[in-house]
Amino acid sequence: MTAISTAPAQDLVFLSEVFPLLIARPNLAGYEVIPEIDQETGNRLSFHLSQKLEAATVIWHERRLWLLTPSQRPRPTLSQCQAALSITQQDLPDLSDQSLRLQEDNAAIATSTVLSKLAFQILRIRRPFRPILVTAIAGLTVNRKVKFWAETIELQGQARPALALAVQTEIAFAGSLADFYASNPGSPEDVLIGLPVQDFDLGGSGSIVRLVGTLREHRDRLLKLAAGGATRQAIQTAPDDQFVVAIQFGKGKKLFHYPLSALRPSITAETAGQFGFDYGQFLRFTKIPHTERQRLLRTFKAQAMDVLLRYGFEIERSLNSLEHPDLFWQPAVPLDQTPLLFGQGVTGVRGRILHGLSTGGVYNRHPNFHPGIIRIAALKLCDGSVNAFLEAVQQRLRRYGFESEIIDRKALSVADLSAAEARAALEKAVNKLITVPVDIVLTFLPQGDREADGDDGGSLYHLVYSLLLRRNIASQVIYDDTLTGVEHGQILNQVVPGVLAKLGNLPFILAEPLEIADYFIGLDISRSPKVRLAGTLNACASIRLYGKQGEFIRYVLEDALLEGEEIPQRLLERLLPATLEGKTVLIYRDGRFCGQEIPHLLERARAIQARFILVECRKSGIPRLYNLNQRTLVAPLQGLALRLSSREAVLVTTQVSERVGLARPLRLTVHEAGEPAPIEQVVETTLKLTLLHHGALKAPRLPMPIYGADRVAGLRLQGIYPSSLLEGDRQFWL
Amino acid sequence: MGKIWLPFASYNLWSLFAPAVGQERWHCDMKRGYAKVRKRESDIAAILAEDTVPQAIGLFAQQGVYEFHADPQRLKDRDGVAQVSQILKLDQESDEVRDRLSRILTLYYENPVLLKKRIFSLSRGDEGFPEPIKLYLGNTAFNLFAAIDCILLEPDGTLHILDLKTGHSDFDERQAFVYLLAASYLFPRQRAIASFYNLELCKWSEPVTATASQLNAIRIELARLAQRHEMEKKQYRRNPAEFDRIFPPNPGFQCQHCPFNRVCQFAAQEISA
Ligand code: SF4
Repeated sequence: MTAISTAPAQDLVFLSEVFPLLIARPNLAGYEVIPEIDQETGNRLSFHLSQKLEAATVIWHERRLWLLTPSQRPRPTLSQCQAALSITQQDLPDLSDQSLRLQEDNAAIATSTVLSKLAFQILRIRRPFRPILVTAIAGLTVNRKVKFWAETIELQGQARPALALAVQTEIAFAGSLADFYASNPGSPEDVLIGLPVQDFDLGGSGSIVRLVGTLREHRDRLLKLAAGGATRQAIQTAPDDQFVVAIQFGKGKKLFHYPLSALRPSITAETAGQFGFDYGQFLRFTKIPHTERQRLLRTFKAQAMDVLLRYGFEIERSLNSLEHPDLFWQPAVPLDQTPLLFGQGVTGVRGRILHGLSTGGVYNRHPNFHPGIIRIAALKLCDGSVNAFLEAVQQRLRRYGFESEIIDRKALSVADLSAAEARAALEKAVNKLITVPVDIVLTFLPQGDREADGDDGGSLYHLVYSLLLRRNIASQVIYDDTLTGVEHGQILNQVVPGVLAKLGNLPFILAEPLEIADYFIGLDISRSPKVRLAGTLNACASIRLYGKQGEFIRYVLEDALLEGEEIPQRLLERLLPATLEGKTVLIYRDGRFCGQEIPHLLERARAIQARFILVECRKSGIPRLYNLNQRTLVAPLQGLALRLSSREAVLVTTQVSERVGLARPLRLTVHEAGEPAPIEQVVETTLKLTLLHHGALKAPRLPMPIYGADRVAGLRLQGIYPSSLLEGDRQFWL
Repeated sequence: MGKIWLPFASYNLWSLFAPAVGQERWHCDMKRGYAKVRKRESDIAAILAEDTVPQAIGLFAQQGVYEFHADPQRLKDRDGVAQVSQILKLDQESDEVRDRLSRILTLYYENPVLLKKRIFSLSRGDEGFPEPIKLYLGNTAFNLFAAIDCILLEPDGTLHILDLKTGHSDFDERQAFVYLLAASYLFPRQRAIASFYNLELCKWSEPVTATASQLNAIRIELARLAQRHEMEKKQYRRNPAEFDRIFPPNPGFQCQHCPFNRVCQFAAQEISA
């Protein structure tokens, strides 16, 4: 290892939201279920059993049910468990006619995964956490809540159960969905279908798919099914004529039925508009000051401790670098000192990109511009003149070795138009502007558009972007406020390298090759249900190939109508060309590998005799890391990593100012089915690959091979079909 | 010694690479593949040889206008339309072509929009390929083909390039820009504008003018297209099995109007409602 230091500097203490659990003598039993059931059924059964068997908490893990009973209480006997299982089955219509039998399994050894899942289940069912109210305005409440999940962590070579606790802010409708419906007259279909909602019991988020009927017709059936207390109470007490609706949670296929009063509207930045709330008004409450965060974490830990202790669990201090110095790393060389290579063999450092560009020019020019000028069009939707700025852009491009010409300019005033009229006028203006083809359109948008994304129909920004993309024209948006508020030089620093990169030039690459692999690939598979053909998914796979020094080589988009989840083998053959033969390739998957992706990838690797290191890169459900400064939490350093095991680590890739919030780390997991790779090296590689964003001076959260991948494939799924974009060498997604 | 062969570009090639702005959904790259790299295969050649009805009408209409002005007396004679129909041998054409042409000729006879103009040149439309114009980008050269129907001389000396249209489709301004680029080389010292006149709708378009920057932008675009087209041809020759990779199909509604739907394995079947 060269660039990762395993010993953090003496005066810095790092902290995480992962709390190891200790349990000395778990009061535990394991059962097999006969005949065998699938995981989804196992999970459902264990959840219901945990409610029925008050004396124990139950989970399903790898074909076994595990029961943990409070330390001081006798374990339920096999026949008690069997009886509870039979009752549970009767309540679950699709399981009621199977005869499931439990068989005690004394040889089973509870792994740390089992124990951490049990701790999670205890907290999920016994619900010790109470949301803490921050403020209530205009029918909404702002609460601090805890998000928790099971982790396992490898300490001194041994896996240990652990719990992650993270604080988050929730903006909630103050009443139930029944209250909301009562105050929103209109046909029930119009008001309710498609609404995002949460159930009171577990806080699970889903959306209303259809109306099922009224409580009068469904009360008895629902009462049997209801697992949670709040749901049960709602079913018992709500009036006969209250609607029952079917909810779909996440991407699950199963629908769940609830009366309106067991649900509440779920308010997020995206959905607030639907409920008539201005989300912006609440944003300032969502930022949690570090001191408050620290206090809340202590409170929630104590609440968790309260119930877990009864089962014999102790919660240790959160993982920190004082007790576990070997688990935390930070880059040995500060990130902004990472050497980069520019044009004409000039090397520089990441912290002085502009200097490198001015002295060496870009590392690689796209054939379109060698020779050739950059054709620019300008579209102005804001007040004020942009001529001086355009002039400055041209000058800066010249400094980096590119001639340019402003082919056309157009001004459009949208101030007095409705949103729909503005979009129509914009579409017309853009179409007119690009009849004479240009390489890039600089669009100057009014400030107001920044917030418009969540509004129905989307922002002008997205409209311009997609109109240009379908013509294969790069797009750069500049907002009014930056133009007036920020010095031109500063905007140019951000804009010009991005413009060059979007046009297919490579401003810079890493000066030193990455050691872990010969090629780096980002793989993203986005899916959207096909409206007409039930059960099929339209999928678009995007793949991007990068070289040993992080140089972008090319991308391929490929779409297909798929049944189920997997990427077909023939698609991989196109995506992973035989040129990778005999090479080591690190494949980043945006999210988890799913379905048959892994076997298919491995088969492809065998066919071309390549070695694939398979790395999942996840963005949610990740414990945060902190820096502790005189016993107070402060933001983590960019590059800080926590090793969870020999295959998994958490990595802070961004530097976020406290005003904005707190860095959200990534979780990197080396999949065991692929080639093994030291996690330290994966972390180091990933970090370096975040430094190659040419469109912004700040590093993005994701490494470049998967940065923006969802955007690439998503456009395609929206029916935007620029066939000339199926394959290419320009990073248009920047 | 023959001329050195150069990559070429034209409005037609451009439209095969990129649809008119706003028409993106109907675009299919595979059509370009059939028309440009597989044109010699017998079944494709047969398709290309069949003058489709709209094409035939466009050509006859152009010839009709030419014949009226070749002998302007025909615009005065009572049987002028019949005379021109006879020259064009319309009686040998299908009913559809004959009917539409006699409407077009009658409309023009009643309102001969070019009569009071100074016609600088008017082509008959069947003269074959025009002389190419050699253009450069950096140190690579390409041939630009632009078949101009008609050039008028405005009173102030401006050249007015006119393209005669039939049918109902919208004008594609890009064509006007290509002509203006050609004019800037053919008549470098002359100001030029371009417009379209639809003979069936009797509708004149707004005149299109181009700045030097715009002409430069078009030149760059055409140079890149000429290069890309060369590359595609080479790729295809090297590996014909890659046809659908080099020219990706975009099956859909447009297949119903695609002349290649008989031979194209990707042609979308008609969807019954
Ligand atoms: S039939 Fe359809 S897919 Fe085939 S070339 Fe024509 S438009 Fe393209």
